[in-house]
Amino acid sequence: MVKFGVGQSVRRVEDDRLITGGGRYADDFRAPGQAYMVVVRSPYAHAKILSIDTESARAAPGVVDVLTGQELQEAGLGEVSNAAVALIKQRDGSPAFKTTRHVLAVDRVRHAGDAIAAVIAESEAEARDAAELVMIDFEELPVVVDTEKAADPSSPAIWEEAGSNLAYDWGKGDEEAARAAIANAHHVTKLKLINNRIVVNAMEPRAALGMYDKEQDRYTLHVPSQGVHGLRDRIANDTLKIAPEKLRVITEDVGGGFGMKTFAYPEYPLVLYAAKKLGRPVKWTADRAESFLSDTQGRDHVTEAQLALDAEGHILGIYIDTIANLGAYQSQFGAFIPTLAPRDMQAGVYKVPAIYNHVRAVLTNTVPVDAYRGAGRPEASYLIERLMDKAGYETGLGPIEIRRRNFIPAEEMPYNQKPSLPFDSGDFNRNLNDALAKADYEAFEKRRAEKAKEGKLLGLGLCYYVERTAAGMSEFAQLAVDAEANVVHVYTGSQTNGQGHETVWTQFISSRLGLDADQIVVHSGDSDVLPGGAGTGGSKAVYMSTGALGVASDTLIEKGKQIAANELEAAVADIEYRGADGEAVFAVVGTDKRIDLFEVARKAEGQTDSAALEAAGEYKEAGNSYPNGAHICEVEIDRDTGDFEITRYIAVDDFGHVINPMIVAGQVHGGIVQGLGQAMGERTVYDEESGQLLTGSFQDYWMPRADDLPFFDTSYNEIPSKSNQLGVKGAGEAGTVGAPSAFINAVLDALRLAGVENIDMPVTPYSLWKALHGAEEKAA
Amino acid sequence: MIPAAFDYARPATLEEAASLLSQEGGAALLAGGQSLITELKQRRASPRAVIDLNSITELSAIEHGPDGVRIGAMVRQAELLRDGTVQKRLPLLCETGAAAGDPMIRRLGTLAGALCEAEPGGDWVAAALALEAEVEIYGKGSTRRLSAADFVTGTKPAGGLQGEIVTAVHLPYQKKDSRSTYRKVKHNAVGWSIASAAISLEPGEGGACRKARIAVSGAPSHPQRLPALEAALTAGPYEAEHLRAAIEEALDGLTFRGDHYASADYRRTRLGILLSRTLQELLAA
Ligand SMILES: Cc1cc2nc3c(=O)[nH]c(=O)nc-3n(C[C@H](O)[C@H](O)[C@H](O)COP(=O)(O)OP(=O)(O)OC[C@H]3O[C@@H](n4cnc5c(N)ncnc54)[C@H](O)[C@@H]3O)c2cc1C
Repeated sequence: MVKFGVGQSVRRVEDDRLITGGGRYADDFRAPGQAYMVVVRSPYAHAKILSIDTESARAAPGVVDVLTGQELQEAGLGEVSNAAVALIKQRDGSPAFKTTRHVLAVDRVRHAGDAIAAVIAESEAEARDAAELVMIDFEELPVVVDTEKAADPSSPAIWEEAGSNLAYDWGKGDEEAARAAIANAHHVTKLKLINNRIVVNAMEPRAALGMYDKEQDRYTLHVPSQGVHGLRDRIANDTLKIAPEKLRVITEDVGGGFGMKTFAYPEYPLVLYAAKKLGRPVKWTADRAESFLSDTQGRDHVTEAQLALDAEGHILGIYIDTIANLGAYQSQFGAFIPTLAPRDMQAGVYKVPAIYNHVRAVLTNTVPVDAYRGAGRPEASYLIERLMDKAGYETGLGPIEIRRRNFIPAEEMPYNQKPSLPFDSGDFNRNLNDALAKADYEAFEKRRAEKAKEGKLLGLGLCYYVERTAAGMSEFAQLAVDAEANVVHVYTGSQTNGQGHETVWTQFISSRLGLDADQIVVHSGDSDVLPGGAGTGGSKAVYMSTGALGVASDTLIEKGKQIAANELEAAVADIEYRGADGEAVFAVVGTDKRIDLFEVARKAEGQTDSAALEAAGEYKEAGNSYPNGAHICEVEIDRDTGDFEITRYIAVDDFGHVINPMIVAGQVHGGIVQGLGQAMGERTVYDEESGQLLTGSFQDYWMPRADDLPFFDTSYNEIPSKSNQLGVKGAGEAGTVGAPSAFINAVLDALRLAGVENIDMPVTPYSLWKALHGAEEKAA
Repeated sequence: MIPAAFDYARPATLEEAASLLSQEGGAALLAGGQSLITELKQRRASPRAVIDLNSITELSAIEHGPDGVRIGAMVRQAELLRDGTVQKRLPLLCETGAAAGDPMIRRLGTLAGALCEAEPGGDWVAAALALEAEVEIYGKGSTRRLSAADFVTGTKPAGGLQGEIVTAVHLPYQKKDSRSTYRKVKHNAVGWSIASAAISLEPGEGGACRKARIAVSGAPSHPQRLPALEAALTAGPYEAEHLRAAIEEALDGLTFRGDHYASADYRRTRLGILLSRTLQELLAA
């Protein structure tokens, strides 16, 4: 049992199943009699729909029905959820402009790929053939795709009702104080940067199987998600306009979500509506081209910022101006990501007396933007860490010293920084020192000189990231002892997307109840099982779910004690649970009178409020946790060609207590790669004229591959969080937060040798060549 | 994705395939399918019929002669790269093949198919040009042969094929003393060439080359040889400076492709650097 306990690098219990094809993804669900749905998507980025002719499609072989936006409106279907818009109050106190997104476009399409009609047929092939027969007359309209240009008042407004492309003008912090800090500063570092747009590209495309039970007037939806309850509520409340209990949402295995699979997309209410109308299950699965055009995308900010410093290099204040591109419609959390989601992380790990964050969100003819691994916090971290580097060079203090001077010291923890961060714990200097030692920082100049002889520019970049995990929610869990199968069933409201939840919950319950791994069965999402769930997102699953499971296991033991007391003829107060050293028994204190957990469960009938021995738990989050760490990256660049290679990557992270170091390493590696992906090559290019996504397939859209990357040196300094019982901090997004600035700071460190002072993500050999070439021409 | 519906035939002989092809206007021939299947699935091509060449055993032979090899049109790229004699006598082809696509693509893809597809960034095409391959074509009862340079001209269909079938690719063996290599700058996403060169040099007297064959791909409008640069290398000994000038002159004669991923200027620069670094390396060897 010890080998399976908390703190062990236990092999993942789900892997045998997943690598032998035993996974059950949304597309694997097939219902008898199901029909297939294919979505007809807009070929134009911006156009009026003049007419839709479905006649020939309806007449095509195998076609069951063709749905249009008009029919859905007549049937009373609501909009696709954009719940977060309501949270945004503009600077002048007025509400944000809210886009209206119909499940199927009615008279206007606003991005290439916008859903216009749905063809439902006996087979997928027939549906695809018929989809080509839906005749639509368009009148093309001018297109806006670029973030900065969209904010220009002279650009055509793609939502006329808004008067411009501005969805909202929002601000947070003390604007006067921040301005005063800049006015009175000894030095002001100014920076303009782009946080480039990302196509999420989960391995598993989205899919949906909708069913309707006429007798019970109840819908069921099989869908990949990051939590079934949130999705159920959004679809039921916002679109279908039914009570949430009338909809059951089921998610089993998920092949990557990264935020993107959290949201209520148009296809989900569509299959449900169609299932009810047609009286048979309806199935839709995205192909990769559709994923590029219909999954929410990430990031896409243009930011100008000023950092005010005193004569000693201490930060006096920060003023930030961001234009955030929300895409054609506000997606479910879209409005929240550039504003409230960063949770004031723009201050990083530094003492910042005054900060103001001004965000203008724009609407464009592009795929909607929403949460992407880190959701707002990578953007915040990228900004402050680029600013710190630049300030380090400008003041002559260098990137290391300027950070040290401004770190919140470990001795001052917990540290309540108004207006931003109530840090609970952290030792930033220690992590930085460890990372520098691992990077052999001392010998860097020697390495650089050697590379120079080969015509290579070597750069070293540093980032000290911090992340604030999601907060303010409740998580639910349920345990049920199955006396017949001798197993304990585990349910939580979080949803694995491949991270290894099954293993970690198994480890946790194993340590609580003293069971072997094969006596624990972890179940995934089913909205009928638990009263609610916070879902997976914001790196919170580990402390939210163990919190709820902790409450549930305590309750289970208490219930069990009562039964055991009856069976062992002792007072409840004299019963203890022994869940260690190979034992899972209730015993009378100080004796060897005992009864096995499963035996207790067999006796449970009639003795507890439920037929079996089971217990529920709810956990309300007590406080934030702050995963943080130092990342160091070394990059070499070929001066002539722009080819580059990462030669070193070090991450020293503080995730508090680590339950399974191997799983955490997986998260760190994956996170770093995802962050590096954004920084070193993921390019989302929309054509300025036509609004077409030019990088709409893997032929054009690069994703990082193993041979693009070096070996990562990762390690942990476990400084326990004070905000939860286990002292854990959450590791799911950290790598993605840290990697982009570590890499870009390294590239800039190298480019500085050639007189280049700025470069934006994504860096490619071509962009490096342009920068180096431009500098040469300027010098000549 | 699912292709639009098409008629499908799987003839067992070349004769049968040719006769089907002449009956079926607008039919597509299917070899390894590594280009065609994608086009069908994305519905960029929707031929009325597909004639599958995969059962025609007479197209699957590798036949070695005294001076060269005849590679049947249905020989898989992977099979070709595994052939011992090809490895020994055509190292340039093998080096190129290793840089073209990936093992799964090469397991099914054919050399003939790659020449017919004649992609602007094709690697196989560049090797075929540098190795002075000949393409054997069958149609209307007779066989003709075209040099690779006449087959791949940048216009479609390659070789001006009209109801004809490529039956084989002929390659003369490389000379024992030839120095050759394939160098490629890849598009980071799909791996196709944005600038590459297949080079084969036969060293001659006094520092000049007896013969030089240089074919480039990816950067120019279509894969092609650089006769002026070849001539410069055979004309006489070269200084590094002279070499750079000759390369620039050869590049001046090309039209370059460019897109948002890599501009025409950048492709030209990459090709220039690649040629100069590689030629210096080969000449110094
Ligand atoms: C993801 C991917 C990456 C690739 N990367 C590269 C790369 O880096 N470098 C590279 O060089 N190639 C690359 N390829 C292409 C690969 O080499 C293909 O195998 C080749 O282009 C086509 O060969 P095939 O046998 O598959 O032909 P098919 O796809 O079957 O046919 C291609 C075309 O040629 C015609 N055709 C085929 N055989 C004959 C014949 N005998 N007579 C007349 N017409 C014929 C077909 O009708 C069709 O129009 C890549 C392919 C893929 C899918």
